[in-house]
Amino acid sequence: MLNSPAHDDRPEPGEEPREPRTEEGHTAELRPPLRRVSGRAVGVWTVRMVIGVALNLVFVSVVAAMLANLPLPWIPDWLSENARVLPIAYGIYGLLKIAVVPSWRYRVHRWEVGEDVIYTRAGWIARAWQLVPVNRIQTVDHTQAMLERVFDVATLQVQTASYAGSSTIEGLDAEEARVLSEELAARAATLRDDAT
Amino acid sequence: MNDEHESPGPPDPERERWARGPAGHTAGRYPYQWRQAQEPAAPEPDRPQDAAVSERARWGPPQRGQGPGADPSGVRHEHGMRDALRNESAGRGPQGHVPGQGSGPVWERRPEDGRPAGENPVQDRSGAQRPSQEEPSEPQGATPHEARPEGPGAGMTTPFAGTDAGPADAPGHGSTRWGPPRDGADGGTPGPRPQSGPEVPGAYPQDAWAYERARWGPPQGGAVTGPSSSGGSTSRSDGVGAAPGPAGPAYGQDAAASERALPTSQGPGSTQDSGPDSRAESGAHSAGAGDKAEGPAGGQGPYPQDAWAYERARWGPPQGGPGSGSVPHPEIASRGDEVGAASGARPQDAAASERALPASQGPVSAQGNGPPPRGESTSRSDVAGGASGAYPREAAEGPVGPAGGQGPYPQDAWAYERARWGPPQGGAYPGQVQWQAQGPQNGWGPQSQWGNAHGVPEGHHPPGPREWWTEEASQPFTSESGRRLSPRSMVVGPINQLRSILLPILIGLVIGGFNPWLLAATGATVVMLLVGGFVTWQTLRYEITDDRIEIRKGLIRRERRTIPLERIRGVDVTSSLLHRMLGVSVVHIEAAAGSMATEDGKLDAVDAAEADRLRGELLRRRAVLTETGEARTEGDEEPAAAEPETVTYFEMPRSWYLFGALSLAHLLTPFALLATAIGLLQQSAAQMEAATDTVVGWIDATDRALLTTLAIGIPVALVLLMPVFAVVSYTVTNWGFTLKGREGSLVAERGLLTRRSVTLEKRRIRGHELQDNPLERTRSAVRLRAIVTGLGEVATRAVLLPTGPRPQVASVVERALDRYDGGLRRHPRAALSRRLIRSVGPFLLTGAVGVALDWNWLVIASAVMAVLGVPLGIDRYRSLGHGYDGAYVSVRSGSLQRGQAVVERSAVIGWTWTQTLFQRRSGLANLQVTVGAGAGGYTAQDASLPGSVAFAADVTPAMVRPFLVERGTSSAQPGPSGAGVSSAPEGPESPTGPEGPSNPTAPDAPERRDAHDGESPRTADEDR
Repeated sequence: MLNSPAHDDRPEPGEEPREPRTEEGHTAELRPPLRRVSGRAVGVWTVRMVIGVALNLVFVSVVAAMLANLPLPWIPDWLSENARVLPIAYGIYGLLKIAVVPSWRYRVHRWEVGEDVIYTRAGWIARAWQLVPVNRIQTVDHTQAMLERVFDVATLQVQTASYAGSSTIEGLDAEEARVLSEELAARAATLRDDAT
Repeated sequence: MNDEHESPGPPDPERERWARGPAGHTAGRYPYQWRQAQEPAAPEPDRPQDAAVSERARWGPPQRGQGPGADPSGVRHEHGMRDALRNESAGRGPQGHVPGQGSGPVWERRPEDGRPAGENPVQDRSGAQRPSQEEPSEPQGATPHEARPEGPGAGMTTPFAGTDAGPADAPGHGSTRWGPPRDGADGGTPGPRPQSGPEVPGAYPQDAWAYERARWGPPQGGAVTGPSSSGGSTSRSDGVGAAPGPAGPAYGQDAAASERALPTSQGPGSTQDSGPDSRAESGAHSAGAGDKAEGPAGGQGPYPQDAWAYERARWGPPQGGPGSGSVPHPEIASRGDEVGAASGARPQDAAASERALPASQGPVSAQGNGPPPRGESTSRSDVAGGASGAYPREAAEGPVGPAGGQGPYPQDAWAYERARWGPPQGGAYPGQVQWQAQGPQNGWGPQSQWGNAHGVPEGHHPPGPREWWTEEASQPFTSESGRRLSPRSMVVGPINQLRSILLPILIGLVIGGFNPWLLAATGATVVMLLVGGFVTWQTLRYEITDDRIEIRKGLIRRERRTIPLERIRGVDVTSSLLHRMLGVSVVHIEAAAGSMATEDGKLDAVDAAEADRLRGELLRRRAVLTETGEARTEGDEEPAAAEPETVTYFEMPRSWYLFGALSLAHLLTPFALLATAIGLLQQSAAQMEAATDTVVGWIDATDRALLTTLAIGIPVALVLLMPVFAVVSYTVTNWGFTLKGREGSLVAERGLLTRRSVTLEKRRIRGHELQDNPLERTRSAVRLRAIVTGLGEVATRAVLLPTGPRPQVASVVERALDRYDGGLRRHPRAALSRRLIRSVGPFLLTGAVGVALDWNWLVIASAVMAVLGVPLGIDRYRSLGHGYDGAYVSVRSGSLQRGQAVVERSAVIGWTWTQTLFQRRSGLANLQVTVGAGAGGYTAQDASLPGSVAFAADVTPAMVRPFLVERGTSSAQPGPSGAGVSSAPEGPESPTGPEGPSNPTAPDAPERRDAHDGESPRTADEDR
């Protein structure tokens, strides 16, 4: 079960260090992207979250009711008696989420379309930075869900030959998204060689 | 086709000869004969004027400006008849050339001004001068003048409107109006050159010759056979037998020779250079005169008469007669080339135009003799004169008739062509447009005549309607006429289909007690399957043309699938056991990346040899196409004589079959079989009640001890036999595994019962992956797979090697692919704890749940799994790594299914870092390198974030560097960063800091923020 070849990040003593492409200890840091998404995206996220929490709350309540009332033998007593704690706890959690997460997201979500690269950052607790080169773009979509239309924001999705290499920018101002998608499509068409 | 032409006119020896046509056509079939009927025979061979005309013909249409044969007198004819007439009256040649002033043959005006065809107006006019004139004008003797013969047309008016002297061929090339033979219209319009029938395009005969001459240059080294040679040639253009037969002297042949050269492009190209040579050979030209038609090296000599001569030369004498076979004249070929497919000079033109017509003609063979089955009208059709090669291809020495088509052709060629095909479609023989379009500015070069005015893309020609079913002998890649599947496919298909429904049918029969209805239904089903197989065999045709493969099938609903050869990703040849018993294989043509079965081409059951040939052929053509970018390259480039070089990288040694015992999937085979058997039993137990009762009774009756022993013994035996089963099933799958390199592809073959051969193009291979599991690691064995673009779901196709020891696999990788040299950088120690937590944590959780619920079994199971999870987590950590060696990026992860992916740098599309909350605390992130191949992305889990950013910047600096925090430039802004704060550019604890001032849409100075993080380069977390 040993892993081999062994990690060879450290040269043997006395041995010439193997020419590492990146030296050990070499570090770098990514700056965040420059642009922010539209402020109205907060509204979109909030509404979405409200709907999601409400649905989940209903589901949890149903489960709690089942736990409390169904005489299944494998449910411990303490669970049956306190089952109503579940929806309440989830409700509180949901409210916190609704209050905190959209604006948190707004701070974290950033994007930047450079000359050759699209750089995005997304997430709230878990973050993701993504670099997508423009000359590898195969598809540019900008879409608006119903909720997004209400708030006049749009989502821009860029796809490359690799599914994993596709980037999504949510919450852009609708007009800006449209302009951006056209510009990207044009640029991708001219720059692109073999997009695989 | 020639029916519309009447019986021949006055007998003419030459004509008679031609009358037979290249393949012994009977008289009356060629347009020229018809013409003869209409017009008196042209005057005799040695016509001084003819010489001039021939010169004119030789040099082609006078172009604006001074052509080679420009009339020194500077008189130019601009356009039209009136100039010609004016000149005529002035005693000058049509182009203003003054007879006797040397240079330039005089045009004879075409008969359209009422003179009897063949009559030489010049002669009439100033007979005295002409004769003398022609001497000098004869550059080399006979001028292929038969242009005189009336050629095509009464309409031969002044050959060219306006252009001027043709190629200044030395003496006699005064201002000749060369123009292509027009259809009688003003000189400006080049009519279809060799024109069929009466309409004969204008002045071809003389002009043709002159043109040809111009095009092809003077007969090489030889005297230009004047008209005489053209004797045949004259008639060439329109087939009018005007051309005096006799041996045309050199010139004619020269033209012919040059003509002959034309088709070069058609066939495996004779190089252009051979033109002259072929010309030289054209000596055998029908006319017999030693013509040295020299073709212009590439030159297109005077064509008109020469055309005939050429034809003659090309086709050889009328069958039975002397005459050189057509030797492809390279120049001629080149001529056509410029016109796109139309290669070859006139013959093509004629041919081309002719051919263009015929789409309807159907297989050339039907045409009988005459130009060789141009069958493939490929180029023919639309390209004016798209003639492609089919035209009288060179080849045959001596008369070969149309089949193979080289008979005495020249005039006949034109005539024949014209007759056969009618006027060139689009109205112009190749080159005619040229004349109008190009003036002197294009030079006189023969080539210029045939420039690309037609706008036909080189090398490609629209397929003619007949392409599908005719053999294109002249194509560099022969078009295979529709081929069928192997007859044995009639059997294989139904059997395969039967197999799937056989078991239910049998069960139904047995259970139903052989009910006659069931039997009848079964019989009917079998019969229908057989009929279906027969119909498929009858209706399925596949054909490879020069740029696509077509599969046509269907009786009631017809379907035609066309796959361009360039799009073929791979060709697989598979044969199951049944197929192999019958000696057939299934050819699967994968057309596009990740295409579904509906987009691929599949030929079920062709002969095994045919399958191999097909695969080789497709890949070879595809390689040629993609390399050269055009369907026809040097025709003669022999597509790989035989088998391209095949390098064997690997052949399975016997001992490697034992590695099957290490493969988890194969180890579980007996259990899979057992499960299948149980499932079957369950399904049929309901029906087989009697059997069930018997079994139950037996169980009740037997001794408990025996039952217990059996119950324990059988599973134990199965477990012990697992390796045996594994090896057996592994062997069946990977029997005779070979990896070969062939023509830029890797071909992997394996299989005992079903022999599967997978071809992967090397240019699609973006890297490789080495996989193993813990069992295999004990023997240090790995499995090699290729990372290929566009494989889609069919991942098993990427298997390059069976399980094998690492050193041997590495050596194969080095030979077949590329080795990865760099090491793998270890991930920080914090990753270890993360891996441990992830492998042990869930079981601890379930254990806790079990304790809470008081489920002991859960607690015990969780405890066991948690204990096992510790070494698993450690192993997972140890396998983590990523590296870059300058050319390849490598990422490794996993333990139970460990894989090291090595991807070439150019395949890297982008990067993605993901970081969870816990990773942020430890300064870790998952770095995913996105690749346009294989799995789409390979993740280096729990790598140090700053280290991975630096790594990405190393691999793709242009992409990453612009977004890096500049070291040392950011102000030392102490941020709330503690030791534990991750190196994330922005932590959640400083939300409103630098961002405050920035408004949503204005870009801010990026460096301001997170300066605290960027201040000091963080050392790699490995140190921790």
